[in-house]
Amino acid sequence: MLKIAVILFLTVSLLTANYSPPVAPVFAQTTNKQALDDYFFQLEIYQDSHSDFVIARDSYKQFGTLASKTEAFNKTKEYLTQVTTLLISYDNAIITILANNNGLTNEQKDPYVLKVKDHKTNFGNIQIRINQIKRLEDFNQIAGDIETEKQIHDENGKVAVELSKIGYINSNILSLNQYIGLIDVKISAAKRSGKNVSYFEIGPQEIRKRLTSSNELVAKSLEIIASTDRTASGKVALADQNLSEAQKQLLEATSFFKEIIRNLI
Amino acid sequence: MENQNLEQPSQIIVQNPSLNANQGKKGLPSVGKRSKRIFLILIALIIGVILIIILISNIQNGSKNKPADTNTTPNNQTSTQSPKPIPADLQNLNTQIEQAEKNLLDPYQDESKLNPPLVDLKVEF
Repeated sequence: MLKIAVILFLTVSLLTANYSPPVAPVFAQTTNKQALDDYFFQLEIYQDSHSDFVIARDSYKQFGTLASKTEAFNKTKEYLTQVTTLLISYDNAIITILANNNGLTNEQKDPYVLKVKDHKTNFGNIQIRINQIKRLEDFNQIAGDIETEKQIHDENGKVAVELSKIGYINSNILSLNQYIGLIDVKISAAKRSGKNVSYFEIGPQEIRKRLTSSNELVAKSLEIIASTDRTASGKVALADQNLSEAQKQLLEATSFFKEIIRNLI
Repeated sequence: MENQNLEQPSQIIVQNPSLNANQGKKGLPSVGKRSKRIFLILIALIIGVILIIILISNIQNGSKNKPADTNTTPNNQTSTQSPKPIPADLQNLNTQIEQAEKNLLDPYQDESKLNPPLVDLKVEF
């Protein structure tokens, strides 16, 4: 009995010491993926709903029967509701992507997020109006209102997506800034141990130049998208040029990093 | 004759004084005791196999979840293939730089999917 007790004790101790229950990994990107998946799912439903709406509308226009009118009414109602649902899911995706962006502060994100949230509210109100419609002809007005709201919505959406791109580049700058600190420590240690390569002086200088330049380009991009004297497309095009240059500079910086590491080994 | 045979074990005990009283009581294991031992060995084997499986899975999880920037690996780790070993921290840094390079070569993966949707709003009734 004593042996059994000892074996059981050891087994339970070892099991509790070693066993850790499997924990599902949590990634910030999963939330982005969920938001994008939802948007694409709503896009698919939209396409089906659009086909049904076109068939019902054309059938009513061709035959003009009461049955075809009822069908057109129902399908238009479903369709316009789906249009607003799709636009809301697009807004949700933008909000999620901005929320998960580590390269931006909340102060930088908030004004753009608020604009997108306003559009969500407006589309929600339009959905309520769609549900209250009793006559087929009244859908014309609602469709016009959606179009008007969508024009401003698309402009703000494009700018918010551009802001996320700026944050993406900025998060890379922040990472490389951390790595240059580590490289400095390594170079100092290598020098102390008698290893001195001329590249140890030039490499970090070149990296710092490119990081400073990228930082300036990011700041310029932020100014561009905040400006009021350009259209959204104009802002996006100009900011894209700056981001493209920053991207090039950062890629060059990574090459210098790799060369320093090769010299350190 | 039967009585003589039955008395034999007790005679052996008397003849060997080095055996203590408890050992003498045990004698040869009975069929019940033997099956109990086999049963205990089987349990021990099963527990052993479970422990090995758990240990292997823990080792695998540990290597999967190991953060990239930890310096737990000793710096003087040697490799039989490479004459000059790469220190673990530099190797980690190199991996992170390569990841950053990869991110920069293929940026805006989520953003590129977010063009405003084109919708048909020509209801026209």
